[in-house]
Amino acid sequence: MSKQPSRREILSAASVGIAAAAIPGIASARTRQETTVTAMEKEFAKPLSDEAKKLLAESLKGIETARKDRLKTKLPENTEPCFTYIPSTREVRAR
Amino acid sequence: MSVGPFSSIREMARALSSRQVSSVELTQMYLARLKTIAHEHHAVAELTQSLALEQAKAADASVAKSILHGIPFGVKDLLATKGIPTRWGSPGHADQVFDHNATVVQRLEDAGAVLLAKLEMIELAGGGNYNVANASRMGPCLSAWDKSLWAGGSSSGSGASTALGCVGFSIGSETSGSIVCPSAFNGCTGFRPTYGRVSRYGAMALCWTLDKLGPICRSADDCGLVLEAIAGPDPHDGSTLKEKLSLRSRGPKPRIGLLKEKFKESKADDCEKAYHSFLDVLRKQGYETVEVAYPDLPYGAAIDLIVNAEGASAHENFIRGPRFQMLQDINQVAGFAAALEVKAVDYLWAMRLRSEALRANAVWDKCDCIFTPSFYHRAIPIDQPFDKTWVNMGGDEGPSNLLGWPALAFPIGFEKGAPIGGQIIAPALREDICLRVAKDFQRGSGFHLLHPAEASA
Repeated sequence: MSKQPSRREILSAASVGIAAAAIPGIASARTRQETTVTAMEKEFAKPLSDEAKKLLAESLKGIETARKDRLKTKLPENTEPCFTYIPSTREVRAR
Repeated sequence: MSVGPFSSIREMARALSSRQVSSVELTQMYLARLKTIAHEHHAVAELTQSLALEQAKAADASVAKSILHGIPFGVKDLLATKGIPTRWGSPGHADQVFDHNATVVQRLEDAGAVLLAKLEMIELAGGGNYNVANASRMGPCLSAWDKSLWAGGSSSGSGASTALGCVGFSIGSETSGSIVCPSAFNGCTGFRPTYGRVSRYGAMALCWTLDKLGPICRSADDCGLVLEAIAGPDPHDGSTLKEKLSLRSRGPKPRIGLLKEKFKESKADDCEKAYHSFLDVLRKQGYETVEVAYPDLPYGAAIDLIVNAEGASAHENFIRGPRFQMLQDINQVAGFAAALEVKAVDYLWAMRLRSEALRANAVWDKCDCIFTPSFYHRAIPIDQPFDKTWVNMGGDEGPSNLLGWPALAFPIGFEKGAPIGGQIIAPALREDICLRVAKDFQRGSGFHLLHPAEASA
């Protein structure tokens, strides 16, 4: 999945970020999410409505918060996820 | 006709085998109710009238293949049905038709049951964090008991139709709460089996590692009969378990584990009363209880991450396609799109936490099953977003869905005229314990026999 922001988006975000420096934290975080929304929208078949963009930015913030929260639970070293790959001679796994 | 819309499966089977009623008569009765009562509750996605009448005639003309022979049922519209639209509750999938039956549908057909209808559901099983009851192609599905309340999700139509006596039984699905919730909000008895017990072949995938299919019925006994018909290994679904299902629980009464509940903080007086009444009924039958606790781990956070990552992957073509914004609830557009941004390392953390959560199996050293309210309150209203109304609801915040444990949900009382539910959770593969306890409770109480006045008239 390609979701790298373009140079223009990075520069645009940086200039907004400078302007928003008076409101540290929240302002720069919103800018990052808005940049991601703009980049994501280009990968969709149709542009998002303004309302959808606003809610998407909020949802992205939620995902960032979840990421920070999960780091509070340190998992023991060298543990495995709950699935393992099972080798098979079949061409496609059944579904 | 000797049986009615709320008859149990055994009652209908007896009436069918003694020719007191025909499958065609039962089918016509339920079709008429689906067209009126269930339709008014926005519970029907697609009637399968001609197929149903054809199957019913065939059932009447043949020797019974099982106890479900000739009994009409409905399925959540996330199950593929050959040649019949399967829309997953989503306006963007309105023209979707599969050329095969889901294994569950096929097994019920093989058992001689009669498919009446595809039942409405929350679009794409709500994987994008829906925030309104209207997140469904047919509009908000209304509780069987009060049309101003929501029927719950995501197996909304299965819960409402069953409680309204519009089907003999139904099939729902659960990733995290979607059988338990509509069972609670409509006063049904719903059985979420162990993960892998029932084939998911032909079911819409939301979350390959969490999705389960199970019956929603009007009693625990009915749930057991339906589960026996649909469970078992399936070469089409590599996650199905080889272990044989046995619902005969013998030996001493299972010991019931009780979690620390938050009735006072949640202002759940009616639920607290119902909870203690439930325990009184079972203690009178010789059941013992013990306090238990799960290891303190972020089970809910892990489930959210898994649903986001797997749901976004399962529906990525749709999310990136031209019909994505046809989703009824704009919150789902935002939620599914944002889920594309979940990192692999986040998902793998959740799947490693899932391994760590296996420690919670230690709870079974102290008890054989756990009883907890499905929610602390009755169904929420349909006219406001959930972030305004889903307050003090509680619910299972433990590892049961993450670890694929079975749960049987059933009505235990009422709050302001609408049902409230409880659930028995058991160790993996021990559906027999859930069933035994719930059947004992239903023998000693009558909540599952109460039906909405509107549907009983």
